[in-house]
Amino acid sequence: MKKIIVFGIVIVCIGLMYQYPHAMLNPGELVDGHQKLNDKCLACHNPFWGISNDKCISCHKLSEIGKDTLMLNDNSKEKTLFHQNLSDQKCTSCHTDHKGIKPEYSLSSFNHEILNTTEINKCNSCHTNPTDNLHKQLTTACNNCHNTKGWKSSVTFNHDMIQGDAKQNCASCHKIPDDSFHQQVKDNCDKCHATSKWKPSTFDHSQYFQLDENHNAKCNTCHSNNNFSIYTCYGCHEHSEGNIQQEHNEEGIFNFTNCTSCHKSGNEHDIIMNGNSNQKLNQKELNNVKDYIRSQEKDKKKEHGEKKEHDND
Amino acid sequence: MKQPLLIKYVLPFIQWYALMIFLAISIDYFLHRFQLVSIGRYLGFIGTFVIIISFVYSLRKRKIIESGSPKQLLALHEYLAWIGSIMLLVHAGIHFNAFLPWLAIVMLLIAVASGLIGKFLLKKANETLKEKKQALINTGISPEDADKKLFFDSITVDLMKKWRVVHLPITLILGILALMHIITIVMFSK
Repeated sequence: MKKIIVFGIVIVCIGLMYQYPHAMLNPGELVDGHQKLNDKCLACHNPFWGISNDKCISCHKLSEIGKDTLMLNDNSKEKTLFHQNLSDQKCTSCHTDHKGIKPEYSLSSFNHEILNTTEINKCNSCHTNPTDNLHKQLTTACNNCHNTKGWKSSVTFNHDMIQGDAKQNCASCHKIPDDSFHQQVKDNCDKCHATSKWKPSTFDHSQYFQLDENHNAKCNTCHSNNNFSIYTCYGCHEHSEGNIQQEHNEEGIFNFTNCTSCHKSGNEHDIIMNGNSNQKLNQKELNNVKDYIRSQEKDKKKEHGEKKEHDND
Repeated sequence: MKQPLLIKYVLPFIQWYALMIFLAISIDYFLHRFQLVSIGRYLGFIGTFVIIISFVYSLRKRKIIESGSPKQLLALHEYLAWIGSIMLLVHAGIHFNAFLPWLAIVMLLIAVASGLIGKFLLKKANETLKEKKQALINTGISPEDADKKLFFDSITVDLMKKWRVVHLPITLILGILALMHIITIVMFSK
């Protein structure tokens, strides 16, 4: 009895598969153009032997593939009907089916190396040129930057290909870094960065403060919260607010909040006042500068005292 | 107070069954998330092989082979079949294309359910039902009245027995459908 049941199930299943192969076996929809073959598996498949090129070519002539489907950006050019040179390739090495009705789903993989040199350099006979501002300025020699392994893999972009003012408009392609330092910079990127690579930048910190061996610190030691527009010298060694205040008051200096306006390096004798370094001044001139600063500070104090008396009156 | 059979045995069974489906969905999600879907195809081979290995128990039970502890081989059958089923569920994924492989998956789910019933429920449920009936008879209640009091539990056990009975034919149908699926894949895959 069991054998009869098993035999019956097998017969029923085979019968259903024979009668309704699409419903019983179809691993996915055929492309739109092949829909009429839904129940004709053997139209393409040779059981146990795969799909022969002959079955494809009996409908799709190699010399005509692409005549109606290939896009061409420049109408003056001829279409590159590259399939006619691929008679030694298996159709199934690039094409598949049962992936859905949209034709683009039926391209499983494509190895550009099967193309000859002439064909491989005519990228836009198959591919559409990108329409963004960057690509509009460039030539159609895609292989200057891209390779055939993938549009975005190993891109070797040469900025020299950009013409005219567009070369100065970095932000049209690159995102401006969102840290507060870069947000406040008004100059063009090339003031600090080269087109060859973003890092290291050519930003010259010594214009503001020289990072010598004693000040070779991480950015956030002086610039807290990733805010490069402010800094602090307090918190390191003898640079406590009390010490700094005492030292400057001894010299008659009371406005000492912006350290780098006078100190451009860690050398305590290299002080710049009114745009002059004290290392370029003789002692007499230096004393004159100090006297001038003291008189300025005294005038400020006096003015402040008079104002206070006037307010009390 | 003694718990009804439904809570004591049926719910743990559902947990194991749900765990199998949950694991299959999780692995399938992981494979899609990290673009490793091709692994699912190979899980079909591995899962089938693992389940075939588990049938060593069936050979021992029918004395086709003489060596091996039936108890240990049964445990092996239970765990390998459960693990293999997870692999096959991942292999199937959620792709509603042809009927043949889906019929096989439906049979697989029924076969696992009936197998889990055999593993977790039937023996213990039978014992518990007998203990409960004996306890009632010991209090002076007649066997007929005891059966009436245990009506709900008796129905539960009867249902389980029916599930257990379908394990072998369902597995057989599963085997036939799986074999046909494999043959058609070999026929048309190239």
